[in-house]
Amino acid sequence: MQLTVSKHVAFFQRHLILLPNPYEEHDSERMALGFFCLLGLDLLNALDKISEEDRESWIEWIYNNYVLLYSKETKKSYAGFRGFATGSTPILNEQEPQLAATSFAISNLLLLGDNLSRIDKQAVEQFLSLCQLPGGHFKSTASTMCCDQDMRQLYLATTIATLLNISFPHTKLSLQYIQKCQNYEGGFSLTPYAEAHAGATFCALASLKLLVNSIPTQKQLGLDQTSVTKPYEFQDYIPDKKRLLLWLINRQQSSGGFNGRTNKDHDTCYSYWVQGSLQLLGASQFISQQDVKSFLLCQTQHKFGGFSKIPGEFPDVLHSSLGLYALAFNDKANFPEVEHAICLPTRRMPIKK
Amino acid sequence: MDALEPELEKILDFEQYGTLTPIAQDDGVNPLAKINYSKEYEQGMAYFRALAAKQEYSIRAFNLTCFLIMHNPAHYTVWAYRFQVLNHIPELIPQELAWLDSVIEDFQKNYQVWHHRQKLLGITKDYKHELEFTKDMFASDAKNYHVWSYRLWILQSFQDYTEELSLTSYLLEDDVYNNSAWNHRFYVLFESNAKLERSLQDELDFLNDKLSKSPDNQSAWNYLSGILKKVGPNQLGGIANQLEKQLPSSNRFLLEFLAEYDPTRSKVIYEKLANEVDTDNQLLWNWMIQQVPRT
Repeated sequence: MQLTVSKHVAFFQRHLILLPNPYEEHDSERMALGFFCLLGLDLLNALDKISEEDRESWIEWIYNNYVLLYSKETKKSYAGFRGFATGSTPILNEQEPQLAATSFAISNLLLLGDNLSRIDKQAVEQFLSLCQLPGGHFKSTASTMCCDQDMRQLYLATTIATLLNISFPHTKLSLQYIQKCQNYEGGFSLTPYAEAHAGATFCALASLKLLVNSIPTQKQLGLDQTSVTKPYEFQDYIPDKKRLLLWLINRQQSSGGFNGRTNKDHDTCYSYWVQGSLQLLGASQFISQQDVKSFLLCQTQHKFGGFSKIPGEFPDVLHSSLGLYALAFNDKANFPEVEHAICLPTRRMPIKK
Repeated sequence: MDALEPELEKILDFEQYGTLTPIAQDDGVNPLAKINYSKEYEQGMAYFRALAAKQEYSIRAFNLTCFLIMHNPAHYTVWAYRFQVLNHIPELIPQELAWLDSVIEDFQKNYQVWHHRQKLLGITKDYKHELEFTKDMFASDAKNYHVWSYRLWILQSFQDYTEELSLTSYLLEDDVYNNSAWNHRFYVLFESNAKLERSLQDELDFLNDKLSKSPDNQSAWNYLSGILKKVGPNQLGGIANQLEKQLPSSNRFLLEFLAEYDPTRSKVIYEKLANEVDTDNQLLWNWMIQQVPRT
């Protein structure tokens, strides 16, 4: 079964013109929806299909969602992006920058070829500090009125810090939080003691990798950068590597697809979260690549283009882009090189100075 | 003006908002990720912006949040505004819980509704109602991650573990493969500070019974492995022997457990897995052999 490239390109193009009404439920996540479409096109080497006019308008729309605010408590500016524009009048926390929107906005700007120069990086650094909680995890905005605070927000914060090459707030605290989230099954959970989950596991491992390998972090941790042999490996921060590996490998089902938790059903996006985790550990040889491909291409690749969550359903932009990314990990012939810890093709990563 | 009856939530009489000037979305000429909004949602949001601009925390604002949430249950700004209305009109709170209970079917996989419930619990302190509610939720989806996380948070906040063993036993009777129930049980017995009266042996007997009924059950094997890591091998001799007697020697999970339980047998067991029992994963078992410390 082949990858139906032109149908997938058309799928993302259609959705970039107008997202069908069912996406109304995701109105608060438009920055993410845009990301999945742009990422999908880039994985198919089709970003050049976007007109110059659209490219420029979309960059402007993204920057229209950039907010620079002043914190009375810290007496410093903080900045980020909000997920959607509701109006010019402030509504509660709606004008507040949000971690997910910020991470996706930066990724979108990189995909669209912007150089991020309009972002006040120090202010974003402040924003990350304001979002970090004493336990090392993060809430999704600086406002006290929100409750989204789990492994996802931690990962988004590390992504932002990495892409902007800025300091992460208290690294040690976050490393400890991540370690607390490895549970008895070997996988990581969204919050300590919750169920081991493949999405949370990817977020945990990618965050570990980004934190331990980043230079600002190394300075914080007092790690010696000048020694010849690396004094650290992010894997050394994993409490039980063996159990983690076994748990990850057991996510692959007889269908070739992956589930996200023990004894649950397969779902396209877990082909990304689990494979991404195994790539980070250098352990992708332990799963069947042939079966990975066969599940995606034969069972969830949709005849109208895109990929669905499970066989027989309609495709959506998230599962479509992550399904492609899952294939890209092991197919350098048909896909661009892709990053492991960050969800972007390598050619979009900003060059560190 | 009373708060909306549930059946009216999906339609709304916009005439009552006629005194307001609706505020359109500030979306620019050519936005990214443009959505084909329904007319009602677009109109509703325009009036919402107008109400929010005035900071009007009224019944009609409350009804509008109902309506908008039914269209977009993830709209965290609308939920936040609704919570502000409840702070201004606390008489609405009992009705709010009833409404949340009734519409939860629509919102099961949504984060915001659980945050909202958590914030309300901070006001009502009626955690028993919430525990009861999570049990009702398990009837329709016994593995909902949000519900289990919420229940976990209630336990940690209010420290009442009295129902947890009976709840998880009941759910595992219904579906022995329910990993969420196993996970919750492990937390309560082996990681929380709940001082429940339950001997390790009783729990191992319970586990043995489940394993004999579902010898391919990864959840139960992971649970056993978790106990082994927690308490060490000394007290697990009984269950290890029983399982080895009861189950076929080609049971991959049994072999994995025995290799962990008795490191002197690891190498031989992994070789058996690599070459006989689970040849599909030969690479993995060979790698596991290399991890066995040399003595």
